[in-house]
Amino acid sequence: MENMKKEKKGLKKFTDFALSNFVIVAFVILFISSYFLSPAFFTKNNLLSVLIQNSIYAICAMGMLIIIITGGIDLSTGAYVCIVVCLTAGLIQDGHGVASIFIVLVMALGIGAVSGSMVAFLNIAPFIATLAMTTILKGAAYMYQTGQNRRIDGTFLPKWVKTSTLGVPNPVLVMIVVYLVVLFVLNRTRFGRGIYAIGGNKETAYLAGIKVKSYLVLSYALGGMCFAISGILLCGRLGMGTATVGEGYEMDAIASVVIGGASMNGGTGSVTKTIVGAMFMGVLYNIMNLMGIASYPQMIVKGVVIVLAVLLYKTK
Amino acid sequence: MSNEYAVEMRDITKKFGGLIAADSVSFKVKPGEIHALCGENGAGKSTLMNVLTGKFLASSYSGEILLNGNKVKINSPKDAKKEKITIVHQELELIPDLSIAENIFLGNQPTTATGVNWKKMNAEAQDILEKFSLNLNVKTKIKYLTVGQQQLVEIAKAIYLGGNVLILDEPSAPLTGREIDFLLATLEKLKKTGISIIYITHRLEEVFKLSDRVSVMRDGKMIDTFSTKEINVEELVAAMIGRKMENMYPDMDTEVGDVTLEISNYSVPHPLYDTNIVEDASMKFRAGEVVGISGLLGAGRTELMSAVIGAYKMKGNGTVKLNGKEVKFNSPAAAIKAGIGYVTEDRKMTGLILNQSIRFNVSMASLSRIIEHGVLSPSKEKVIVNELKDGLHIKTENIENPVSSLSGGNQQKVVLAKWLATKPGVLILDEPTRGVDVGARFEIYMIIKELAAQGNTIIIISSDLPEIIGISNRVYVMYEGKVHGELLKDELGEDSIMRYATGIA
Repeated sequence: MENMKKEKKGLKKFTDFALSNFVIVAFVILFISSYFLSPAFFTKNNLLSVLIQNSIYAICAMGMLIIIITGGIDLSTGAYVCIVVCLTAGLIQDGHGVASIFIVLVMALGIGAVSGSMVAFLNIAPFIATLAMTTILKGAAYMYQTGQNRRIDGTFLPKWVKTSTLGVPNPVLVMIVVYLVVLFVLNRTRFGRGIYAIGGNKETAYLAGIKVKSYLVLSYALGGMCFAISGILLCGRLGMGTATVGEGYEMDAIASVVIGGASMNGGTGSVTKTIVGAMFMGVLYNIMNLMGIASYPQMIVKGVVIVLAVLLYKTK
Repeated sequence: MSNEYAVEMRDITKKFGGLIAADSVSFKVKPGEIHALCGENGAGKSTLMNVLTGKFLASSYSGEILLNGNKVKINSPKDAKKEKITIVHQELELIPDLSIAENIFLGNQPTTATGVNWKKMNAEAQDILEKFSLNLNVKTKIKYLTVGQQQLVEIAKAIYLGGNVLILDEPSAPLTGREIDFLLATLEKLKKTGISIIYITHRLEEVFKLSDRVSVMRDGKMIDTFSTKEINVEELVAAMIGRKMENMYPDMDTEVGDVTLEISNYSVPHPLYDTNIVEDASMKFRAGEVVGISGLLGAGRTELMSAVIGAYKMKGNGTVKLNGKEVKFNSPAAAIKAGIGYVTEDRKMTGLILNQSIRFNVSMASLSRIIEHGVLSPSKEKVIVNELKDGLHIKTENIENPVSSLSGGNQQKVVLAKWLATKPGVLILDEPTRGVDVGARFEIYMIIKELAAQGNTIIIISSDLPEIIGISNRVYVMYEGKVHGELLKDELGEDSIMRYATGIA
C-alpha cells in the first residue's frame, strides 16, 4: 500500500516533469525514432548540416522569445533577415570589411528600438507596429537590391561561416554564444526580471518601479539584433545579397517559442526550451526529407505539431 | 414541512486531489432570511457556494442538495440559473468595454425586428439604477466606473435577474460606508419579498447589522449555525478562528518624531472632466505615526496618494516635501528610490504577478538590493525573501511556489513583503486588509504597528471604519476631493468620521 502510494507519487512527478518539459522529451523521442527510420539520419554529415541550418532559425527564435516574454510579438523577423542579407553583402562589396558586421548590427538595434518605441510610447499594438515595420524593411531591401549584383564569394564572411572553431562549425558557435548571453540576460539581470514582470502584469511592474517603457524598447532592439545575427550568417552561407530570402522566418520563430512552452500572453518562456523547440522542428523536417516525404505534407505535419504542443502544455 | 428550508445542503464532501475542501458540510437556509456565512479564507465557503451554483459536476462531490424540499442535481451554472440561484462573485464579472445597460441586459436584450431595442434597454436599465438610487448614466462604459460603483451595478443586475436564492460573496469589500448602509437597506427590503440571501463577508459588524442567522466554517467543516441575536462578536470570532481573540487591534506605544512627508496645496485634475478630483489638499505625516485617510468612495484618497508618488495617470500640482526637501516623483520608480512604498488597493490587478513565484513577487521592487557586481544574486535573493516569509508568517513550504497558490491573506502578505523589502521610510497602504481573513488581518495590524514603532511613517487609506479607528494615531477625512477634517486619537469615532466624510461637519 505504502509502496503503491510512493509509486503513484513518483509517476505523478514524472508526468509533471514530462509535461512541463514536453519539448525536451519529444525531442529525445523524435531523435531516437529518426535513428531507426532512416540510416542516413545518424551520420556526422547529416547531423552537422541540420545543426548549421537550424542555428540560424534558433537565433531568430531566441530574439522572438525576448519579445514574446514582454507580451509582445515581432512580425518583421523575415524582413530584418532580408534587409540584413542585402546590406551585409553590399557593405562588404563596398570594402567595409568586418566593420560591415558592426554597422548592420547597430542598424538592427536602431530598427528594433523604433519598433519598441512605437509599442512603448505611441501605444501601438505590437502586431500592427511590427507589421508596418515589415513592409518598410522589405521596401527598403528591394530598393537597395534591385538591379544590383551582390556576390561576395571569396570574402571573409562566406569563408568564416563555412569554417569551424575547435571542431564546432562557426554558425553553431554563434548560436551557442547567443544562447549563453540570452540565458544570462533573462535570468541574472534586472532587465530580464523586468520583462518577465512586464509580460506578467504591466501595471504591477510599473508600480514596483520597473522601467516598463525603456525595457520594452530594449527588448525589441535586442530581438532585432538577434534577427540581424541570423541574417549575417545567412548572407555568409549564400555568399551573396538577395531580397528573396527571409520569407516566413517570423512564423518559424514563433512556432519554436510556442513549442518551447512560452505563452503568447507573455510573462513566461525559457531560452533552453526555445532552442530545443527550434531543433525539434529542424530534425522533424530533416527526417521527413530523408524519408522522401514531399514538402507540402511536411507543412501539414508542422501545423499539427504546433497545435499538439500547445494542447499538451495546457493540460499541465 | 417540506418547505421549511429554501436550500438544504446535506453532507457535502468535495475533494481537490488529496485536499478536502468541504468535509461533509450541511447547510440550511430558510426562505426570506439573510444568512451570513463566515470563516477565514480557505475555510471552504467558496467551495460550498460553488457546489450550490453548479461550478462542479454533481458527480464530483458527495452529498445532496434540496431546494424547497425537492432533491435536485446542479451540474452547471445554467442548472443553477434554472433553479433561480444567483451569485454575485467577489471577482466582478462585468465586461469593461460594454455600457452599464448592455451589461445588465447581457444575453437578455430587448429586441425589435431588426436588432437590439436600445431605447427600451437603456430606459429599463436607467429604471433599475434609479430603484437602486445609483446616480449613473447607463450608457457609461463599465471601465470608467470605480470598483465600488461596478459592484453596485453587479448587485443591481443580480437583483434584476431575480431568483429565489441570492448569494453575495463579499459584496461590501470595495464599498464605502454610505454605500454599504445603502446595500444593507436594499437587502433588508429584498428579504421581505421572500428571497433567501446568503451573505459571505469578513466584516463582522455587517453580520450583526444584517443577518438573521450566521453559519461559521473552518478548515472545510461547518462549525455551527447561530441565531445572530444570541451570539456576540467575541463568540463569533472564536468560532471562526478556533481560539479566543483578545483584541483585534494591537496596542503599541510609538514615539512620534519629525515630519517626514508633507503635502501642501496639492490638486489633481480629473482624468475625464474639467474639474479637480483632488482640490488643494494639505497633509503632514510624522515618523513613528500611523495616519489614516478616511472618506467615501470617490473622495479622492487614492488619487491623491497615487498622484504624489507619480503612479496616477494625471499629474498633480502642489508641493511635496520629504524630510524637509521638496521632491517631485514622475514615476513610482523615483518614489521607491526616495523610500516611499505604496501597497495598492487591488492586489490581483496591481499588486501581484500571479503567474510568478512568491520569490519573484517579493523581490520585484527591490532588485537593487540583490544585485552584486551588476548581476542578480539568487542566493542573496533567497535569504532576503525567506527572511520576510518567516517574519510575516507567509504560509508556504517553498518560496518557489506560485503566488496564486496562496490564500487571499497570504497573498496580501506577499504584497506587503514586496514593499518591506524596499525598506521604505514611508509606507502607504491602500485598503490593506480587503478580502483578508481575521487571523491574517491581525497579523497585518501587528506588522503595521511594529513598522511605526521602528520610526517609519505609515499612511493607511481604508474604508473600514473600525479598522481605521483601531489602528490610526490620527485621521484625515476627505470629502469631494478636499481634506475636510483632521481627527486626533481621542476624537476618533465612527460618527465623527462619518460626519466629516459626508460633509455634515
